[in-house]
This record gives sequence, structure tokens and C-alpha cells, in this order.
Amino acid sequence: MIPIEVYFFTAVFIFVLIALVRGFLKELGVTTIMVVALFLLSQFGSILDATIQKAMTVGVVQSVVPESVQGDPIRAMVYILFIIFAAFISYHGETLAFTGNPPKGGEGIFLTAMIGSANGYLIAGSIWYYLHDYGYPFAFMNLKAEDLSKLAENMIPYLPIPLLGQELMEGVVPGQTPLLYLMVILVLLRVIR
Amino acid sequence: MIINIGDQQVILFLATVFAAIGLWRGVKRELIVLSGIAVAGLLASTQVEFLTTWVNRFYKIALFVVKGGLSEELGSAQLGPMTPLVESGDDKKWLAVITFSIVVVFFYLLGQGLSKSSPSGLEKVLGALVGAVNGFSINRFVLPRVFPTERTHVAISSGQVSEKLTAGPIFALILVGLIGILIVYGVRASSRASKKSS
Repeated sequence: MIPIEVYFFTAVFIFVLIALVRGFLKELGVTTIMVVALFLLSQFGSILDATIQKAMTVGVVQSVVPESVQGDPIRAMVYILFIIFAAFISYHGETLAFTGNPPKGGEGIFLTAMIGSANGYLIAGSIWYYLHDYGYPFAFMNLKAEDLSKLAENMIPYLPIPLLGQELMEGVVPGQTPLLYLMVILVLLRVIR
Repeated sequence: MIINIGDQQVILFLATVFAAIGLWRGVKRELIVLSGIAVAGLLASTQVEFLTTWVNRFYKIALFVVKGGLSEELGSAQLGPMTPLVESGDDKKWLAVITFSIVVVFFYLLGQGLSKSSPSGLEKVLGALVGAVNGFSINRFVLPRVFPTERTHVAISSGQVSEKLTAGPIFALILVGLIGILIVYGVRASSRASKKSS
């Protein structure tokens, strides 16, 4: 069995390579869309959860899933498909790409690699989080929560949703998450440019 | 005399010192240091056993040379049984701290060598912010190893410091700040490129 952290780091590495081909400014568009998508998931995930629950109690969805399957494949699939859809939208075309020429030379490579790894972290890290949260339900991946390595267990609190989606001023100002701040920075920069 | 220093004061003090260094050096050099800290942290936390083996080997070679080595007159020097230089958990902890420090210092010097131009106003401000993040990261690695318990004259609550530096809101905000700095700097560098090309 390949450890899940190997999948994660491989995915981040691939995102870095993609970023180096696409350039810094296009990658910034991806970051913007992904941050907005993750912010929506972290804030309104409970509504989505309730909707899925409703669909399951009606019996629309549950009949499709065999009882032998571990975890919660329906919820995991909904969240993961949402992230994949957001990633597809953000990489397809130049909808939110920032204007101008990307930075050149070593400085440009460094900045692009960093923003590429941030995108990889946001996309692959969120997919990992939802897989973990819903009990690794996909049999073809051959993953189980109890078989995770120490490194993988330690990494879970650092994945995007639990780390960047946590409330900063709980009970004082609702919705104040690091994702919100990041989203504001990115949207402001996009508007200013 | 026991000086009680709170965890937040330690974080704030070190972050301020490194921010001042960042202000002076500029963002380019500080970003090089930041990547150096990542390399150093990875090396010093995951490769300690590998480093221990090699440090002990070189220590043995050095002892062999000091005792005469391979010479025509004396023949081969006899070392006999010897205690390795790095053996206990405490030794390994210090090896990790020393390795981390050497790599970080190397990247500080590398940054100085690679980026010769003096930083502009915004580069200085961004440098101060990245410098603060560097201070935080160095603090995160070194403090829990150097002050494992409250036994020194400067009583630092290392447990609390470690807690503050794990996946809590402070860490999340620092990560957001760092990504924000990278984005602002990158966008600014892109604007420059845009002006040059026109």
C-alpha cells in the first residue's frame, strides 16, 4: 500500500511542474478560485451536509451504495467532486488570471514554484481531508484510517480545511477564518490590477 | 535570578529581531532564507540517524588521523574501542540543532551573495514581514529542543510555546501572511516586468 502522504507530495510536485509551465499570474487566478471554493466549503459545508442527509433519508442516494463499503462515500464524493470542479474551472481558460507579464529568471521560477505548491496544497490537501473525514471510502485506493503512518496523522491538522478554515474569533465575529483573509487579499489585488 | 518570560513574549521578541534583520536585508534575501529553513528543518528532523552515522564515521577518521593514521614509520594507528561522538538522545538533539543552524546560516550567506542590489522601500517592508516569519520558523524548531523543560535561569514555558506554534490560529495566520507576502511580491515583480516590456 502506498502511504497517502506520498500521493499528497507527488500531487503537490505535479502542481509545481504545471505552475512552472503556466506562469505566476495564471497560477494566481487558480489560487483565487480555490481559496473562494474552500471558503465556501468551510462556511456552508453544514448546509451541503444537511442537503445530502435529506437526500439520503428520502432514499434517493443510499440505494446506490453497497452496505459493505466503509465510511461515507456519498459525502466524500460530493465534496471531492466540488473541489475537482473548482480546480477544473480555475485551470481552464484565463478567467481570473492576473494581467501583466510574469516575473522572469530565478526570482520568477521561485515565486511560481511557491504559488504552484500552494495550489497543490489547497487542492490535494482538501481532497485528502475529505477522504479522511469520511473514512477513506473508496476501495480502489486501498486506504484505511487505522493504517495511516505517524507522519500522515501529524499532517492532518495542517491540511487546508482544518488549518485555514478554523474560526479565529469564535463567538465574537463569526466567519473570521484565515481563508477569508486570504480571499480578501487576492480579490483586492485582482480588483486593483 | 529567574526571569519569567511568557511564551508570547518569546515569540514576539524573536519575530521582531528577525523582522529587523529582514527590513535591512530585503525580501529577496529573506525568501532565500525561508527556503533554507524548510530544507534545514526537513534535514534536521528526518535525517538525524543518517547524520549521526556520518558524524561518527568522520569522528573516527579524525581520531585515526590524530593518532598517526597510516604512516610508513609507525604503520597503521590502533584506535581500539571508542565511544561514538553522537550516541544519546541528547547528543542527537544537539546534532539536529547544529545541523539546522549551519544550513540556515549558509542560506543567509547565500542570500547575501545572490542578491547584491540594495532593497527598495516595499522590498524592505516585505523583507521585514518574511523576516518575522523566518524568526517564527527558527523559533519553532530551536526553542522546544534547547528548552525542553523549565530548568534554566530564563524560565521559558516551552510546552506552551510548542502548543502556540502547532496547527492553531497563530500558525494559520502566519501561513496566510506568508502566502500574502509572496503574492504581493510576485504581483509587484510582474508589474515591473510589464513596464519593462512596454
